[in-house]
Amino acid sequence: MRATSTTTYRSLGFFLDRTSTRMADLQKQIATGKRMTRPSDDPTAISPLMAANTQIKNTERYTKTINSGLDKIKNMEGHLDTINNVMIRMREITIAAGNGGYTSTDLQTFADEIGQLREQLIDSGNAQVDGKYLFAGFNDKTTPFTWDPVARTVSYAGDQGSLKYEVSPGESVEVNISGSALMQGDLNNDGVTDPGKFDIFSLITTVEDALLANNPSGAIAEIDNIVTANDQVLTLRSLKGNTASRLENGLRSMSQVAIDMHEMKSRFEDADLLATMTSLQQQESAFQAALTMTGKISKISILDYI
Amino acid sequence: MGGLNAALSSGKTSMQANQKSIEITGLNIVNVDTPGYSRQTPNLAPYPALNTGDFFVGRGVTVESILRSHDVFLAGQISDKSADKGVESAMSSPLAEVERVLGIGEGSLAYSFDQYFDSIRQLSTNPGGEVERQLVLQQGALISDAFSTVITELQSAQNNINATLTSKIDGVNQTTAEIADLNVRISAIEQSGQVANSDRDRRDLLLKNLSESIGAVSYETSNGNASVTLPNGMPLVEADRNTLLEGYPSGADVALRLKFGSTDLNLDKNALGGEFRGLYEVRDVLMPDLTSRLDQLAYSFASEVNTQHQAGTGLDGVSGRDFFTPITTVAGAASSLSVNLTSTAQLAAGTSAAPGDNTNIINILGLEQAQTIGGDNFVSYYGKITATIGIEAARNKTSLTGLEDSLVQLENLRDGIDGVSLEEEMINLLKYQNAFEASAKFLSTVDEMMATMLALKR
Repeated sequence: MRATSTTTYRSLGFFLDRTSTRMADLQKQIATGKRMTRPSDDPTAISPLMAANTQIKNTERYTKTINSGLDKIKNMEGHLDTINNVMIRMREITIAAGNGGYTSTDLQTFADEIGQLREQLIDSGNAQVDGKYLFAGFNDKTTPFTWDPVARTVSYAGDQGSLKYEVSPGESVEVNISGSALMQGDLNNDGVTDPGKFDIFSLITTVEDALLANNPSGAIAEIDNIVTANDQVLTLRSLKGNTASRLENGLRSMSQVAIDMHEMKSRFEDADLLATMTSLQQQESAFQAALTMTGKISKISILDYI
Repeated sequence: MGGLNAALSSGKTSMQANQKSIEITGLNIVNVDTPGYSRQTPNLAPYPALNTGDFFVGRGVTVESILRSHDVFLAGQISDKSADKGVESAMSSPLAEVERVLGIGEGSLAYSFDQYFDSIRQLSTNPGGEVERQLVLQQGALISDAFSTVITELQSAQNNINATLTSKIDGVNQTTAEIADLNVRISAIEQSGQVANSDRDRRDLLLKNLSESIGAVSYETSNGNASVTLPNGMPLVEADRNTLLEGYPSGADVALRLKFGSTDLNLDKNALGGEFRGLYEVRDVLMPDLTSRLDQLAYSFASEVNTQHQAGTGLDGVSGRDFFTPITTVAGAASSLSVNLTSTAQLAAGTSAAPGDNTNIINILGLEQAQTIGGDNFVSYYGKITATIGIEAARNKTSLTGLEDSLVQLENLRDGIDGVSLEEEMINLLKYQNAFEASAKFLSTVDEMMATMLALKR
């Protein structure tokens, strides 16, 4: 094959074209830091990349969800502590009242304090965070506990809804305690006090009524029940404590997942800067060589020799 | 005297032949950069010798013909590869456009899905929250917009293809008309025994262009006419007649037909090659596939979310509502996606009307990873759609690069054999100049001899 000026210039032009396209590609990779900006850059990486994107987004949200669950449980914890203290105080009063030697006026005073304890319990049961009632099940915009002074009963306006947060893919955690489970011993959410459990409010009313009726032994008879009812609160409290530590663990694993996912995303998407720079330099020197050659070729001509 | 006269006459033929050769060399030099030009060479031959006395003596030299260097095999190869390159190069810009529309980064449909489910996940921690509910409705509207934007942009890419097709029709018709003209000229010239060198060069170039644009195939008939047909055998040029290509509206698209006087022949994609074929492939094969899969995605998404949403109850106590306006058919689903709910209270976060109920939201969240479309969830199904276009665009890039490489090689080969080499022409120039000078010297020598002879008699 003869090399004519047409073939030489065509090859040169083609080579310069190719090299400058390649250089533009590499420059784009370095400028954006990404080796994948279009589907055709690596079609096989699209699926894992998108899955990583979804997971990163979800991890951020799970972290927020877990934190919001933890906030809820921490808030609850304070109120459960109050309820616990109220129960202990009630037991003390009942034991003291049962000691005998108290006049009916004294018993009246004890009964008054018991009445105040009930108020305190109702306040705790009606605790709110962010405008929402903590112990109202799903019905969290309505005051759950109201004292009816005529019927001398406390009614529950909430429901038995169990609020679950999705804290990792497919894993939900219950972050609330319904008021009925807490105060009325309805742990299985059927609206009726479970056998062996207690409706704390009616327990209080029983004790109060006994003291008002000058019947301390009637109050003493309830001491065991008060202790059991307190256990009922403590059980729920420790359950939420377990949930909280589970959430804390979740939080730690989420931050690990986030790191892993970013790493995976980067592996598929980001340019290896060192390698990219090196090949850019290679292309540049090839380009320069080609340009120099172009200059040389156009200088050599048969016309200078004949 | 006979000898000297004969010498004079033969010297004259040499002067003429070398002048002609210089002229041809000049023609080669000026056409050094003309695309498709084939090097021409004078075919020098001695005049037939005459029997004078006892000897056969030659009577000089003549340019018998002008030869055109031509390699049929290479021309055919270039034509074939040009048709292949036409297919790929016409596909590359629409593919790049589609690739941009079906992106993978922020702003892509996958991103919209992530955003939508994120807003629902956010609502799950505060199911009664007005702001959170508003956000979910907004994200629903945004994902609907994202779908219709993708469809609109695909349609505009399709319109661009139609415009490109229309603009290329005139070029094809002009080319076939010129080939028909050249057929007439070439056969007229060659009937008289000459070779129509430059007309053939021009026609070869046009045939190559036609092959690249529409994949035309050609062969030469015995009288020097180029007969050009489409890849399916339908005639484009037959001797002095060319068949006109015409575009006509077919639905929203442009279709092609050949006009044979009174009857028309509609062409499908298999009838075409080259750039037309490439454009047809993207418009009639790839794009409908992508659109129907996007429709399927939108349809499944809307119906899955609706079914789950219907199971829940809004804050107003009403259940059985659709989140998205129900879509009845898969076809066109992507462009008709829209949010059905009109107020935040209608959003069915729970299975009861209680503001703190998030049970239904948790169920809707399950759809994010559920394999609802043939073993895929929404995002991974979209990922497969983009992978299809990604693979096609990557294949196109590789294939185009390869074809460009081999075309450059082939054209270099052709120019190496048939093209003009300046070095060679300069040397030929020297050669013919020297021969011319020698002939002139020869003539002046003969002249001197004649003068000597004439001086014999005083």
